[in-house]
Amino acid sequence: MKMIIRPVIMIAICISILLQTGCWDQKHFEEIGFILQMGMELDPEGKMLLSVTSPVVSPDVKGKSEFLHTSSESLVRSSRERLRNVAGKILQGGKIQLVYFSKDLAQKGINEFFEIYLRDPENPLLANVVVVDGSPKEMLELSLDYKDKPRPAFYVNELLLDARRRSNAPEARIFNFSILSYSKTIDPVTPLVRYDKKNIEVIGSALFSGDKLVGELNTDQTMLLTTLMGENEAGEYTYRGSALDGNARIRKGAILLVKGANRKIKIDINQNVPSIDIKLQLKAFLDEYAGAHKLDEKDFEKSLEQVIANSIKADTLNLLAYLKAAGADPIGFGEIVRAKHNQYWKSVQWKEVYKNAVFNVDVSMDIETYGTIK
Amino acid sequence: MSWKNLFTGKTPPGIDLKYINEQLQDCPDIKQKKVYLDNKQEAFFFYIAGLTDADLLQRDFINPVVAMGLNQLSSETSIHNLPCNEVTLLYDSKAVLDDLMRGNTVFVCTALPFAVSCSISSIEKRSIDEPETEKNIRGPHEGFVEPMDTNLAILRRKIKNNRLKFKTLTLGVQTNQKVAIAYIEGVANIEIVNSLFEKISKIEIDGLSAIGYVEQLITSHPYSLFPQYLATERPDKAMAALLEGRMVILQEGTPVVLIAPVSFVSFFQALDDYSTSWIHGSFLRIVRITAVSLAVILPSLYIAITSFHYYVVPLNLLIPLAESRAKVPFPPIIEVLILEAIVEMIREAAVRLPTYIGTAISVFASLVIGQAAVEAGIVSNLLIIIVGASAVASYVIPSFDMAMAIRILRFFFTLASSIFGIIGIVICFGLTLVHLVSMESIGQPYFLPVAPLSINGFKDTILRLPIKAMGKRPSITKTKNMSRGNNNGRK
Repeated sequence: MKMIIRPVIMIAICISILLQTGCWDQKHFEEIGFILQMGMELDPEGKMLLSVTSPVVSPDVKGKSEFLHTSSESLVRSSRERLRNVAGKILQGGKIQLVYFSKDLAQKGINEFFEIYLRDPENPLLANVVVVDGSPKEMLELSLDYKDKPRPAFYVNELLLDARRRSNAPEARIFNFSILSYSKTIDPVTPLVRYDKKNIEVIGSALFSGDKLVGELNTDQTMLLTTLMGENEAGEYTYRGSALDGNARIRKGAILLVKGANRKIKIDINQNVPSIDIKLQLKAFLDEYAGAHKLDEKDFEKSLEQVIANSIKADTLNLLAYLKAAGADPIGFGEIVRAKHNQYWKSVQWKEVYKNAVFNVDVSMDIETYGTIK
Repeated sequence: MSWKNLFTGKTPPGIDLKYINEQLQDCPDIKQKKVYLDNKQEAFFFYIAGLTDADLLQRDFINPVVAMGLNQLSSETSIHNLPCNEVTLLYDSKAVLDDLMRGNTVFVCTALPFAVSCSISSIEKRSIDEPETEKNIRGPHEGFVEPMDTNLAILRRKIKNNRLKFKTLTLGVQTNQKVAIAYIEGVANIEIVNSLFEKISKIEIDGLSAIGYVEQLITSHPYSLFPQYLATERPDKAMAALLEGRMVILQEGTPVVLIAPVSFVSFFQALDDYSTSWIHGSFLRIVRITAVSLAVILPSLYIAITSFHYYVVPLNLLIPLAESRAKVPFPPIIEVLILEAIVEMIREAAVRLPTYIGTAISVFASLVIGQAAVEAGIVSNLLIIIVGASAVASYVIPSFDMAMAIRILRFFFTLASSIFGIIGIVICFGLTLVHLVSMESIGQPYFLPVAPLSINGFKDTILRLPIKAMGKRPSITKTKNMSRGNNNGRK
């Protein structure tokens, strides 16, 4: 009998403990409004305007309906509380995929808005940070009416994923944006999108210095930038020069699919000015070329490679000059200087000397294959 | 005669025909054949009609006895010349009754100081078919049957060695059933054999209609979910166990035997693992282990995710899951319990169906009912898949007892996850592990290759390594003769 009484008492105690503790913090799946997108911008009065969307799932509602609402409060959380009053579901941020910032807000610095992501572990640090050319609120409103697109959050998510795969947009998630923006040696860079009544378009990347927006790049430049950052997976380089034989054609230039990119960065300090040598070795697949079909001739191939390499070199130098002028250092030259020339690093303000840095770029291009035609 | 006398009444000394007749009142199955020796002395043959071969009885027992006459019968030597296969002399009435009940034929003559018992039994028995509950593909297709003599013969036929020993004892205050412990001398640890024998001999109940009685009465953890003896109907499994140094408990009247000592992993081993290539065997093991994890965890994971951790759902599943959940008016735990209850009921009903097609029907029926439940908005789509998968997964486990344990365990996990989410699952898993580690099977650690850690033991757990690699007997048997095959002759 004793053997039975003891377990019974134990079970009774356990059950009473279970019933008394806060085990009722359940969030039933069907009762949650999943915030998937969050947009932030400045309203005309200079206050923060928060817009969120969340898919509406209910047996009564057909199609891809979305809840979109906007609130302007002085804090992100208080805005959410206001939104909850109209949502009809428990709005939860655990699945936020995209955080949009308008350009004007981004220029003032955006790190402070990530505080709720760092305080509440439920909010995902993996959400994408995206800068919108225009108003995020307007973009979210328009995107609800895209007839031929999936739900907006899914659409933009896929868009970014694909752009990243083609090196047309960088990857920026809250956690690494936050880390990079606090770092003094390297700056974050985020995707940049534009919208109209029918589409949302990835148009390149937004450059930051710290957490403040300082410039923007188009997709071609972004592809070069990711190559310089060593993150190019399969970018496409467009050569816009004319064909070698000089004949006029309707098509012009060449498209090269970058298969492998090797970069070497060497920094020397010459008379207190950093001189940065960059060596780029690219391997590519020639996808389209408007010119004579003579690629099987070694000399011809060599000269084509040389011409393209020169073009890449010129583009790269332009890009680096732009970065330097904007004061953005997404490639992390500062990191190398701090590591290799620490005394120098300590004696100067990096962002100041960066403006005067001298760049030397050496590009070598190897066309590995060009298909079945010559 | 009063009831009290039936049990406590003293037996008169010597052979008392009156007493025997009194004891055999209302036993119409026991026949008395009256003969006259030398045409004057009355004598009787007692036998049980259904248990005796009538032809042999006439030819080899009645005929010679009547022919011998009283004079010759008085000499014990000439009685031993009777052509029956087992002749014993009995000197008191109690022994006569006991022998009669064992199925022997007894010759009683008041003029003689003893009775003659002779075994010419013929028992109705079914053929040695493959057990319905434990099919296999590449092994032998025979199974144990109800009469123990046949089972002992089956084992002896498989192990042609006089070192195969059976320690027998009689259990059941009312039923007098024979129970035997089989072991191989020199392979099994004799101390474990003796302790098991002692444990079993302490059993005192009226009768044992199945071997489960023995199992429950000698188990050292009666409150545990997990079986501590491996029940099987397969002689090949019993043989493999004996060769590893384990013991096999056989009981008169049931085709199921118990194997001990066993560890947790023994319940996931089947003969097919060994009868095919080690790669196939290992694959089957992995399938089973995956099945067990799924059977235990799937429903509770569903509850944990849908009621606590919505953020772990992949983005592409978010909306389909929400859509399927949106129609359901109950919280996930009620939803799961409804469906689990239906599945369990169908399974239980299918066991009683005449054929074992029932098992397949049960899965099918549960899916059909499930589909109707989805359309009625009682459960969600995804849950049907989850409960279906976990039900199928629990059928993969070769041992019925272990499958049952896993199914019950699943309910604990389900309830815990509905209160604590994933933490509940983790806690349940921890408690289960603690319990398993602390358990014993006749004094040997139950969770063996893991605790205490034995690297050698892992050769036959998650993977089934080639037979050549398994040169040592499992350490759970505490055998003194560790190497399999010719001792020390292994090159």
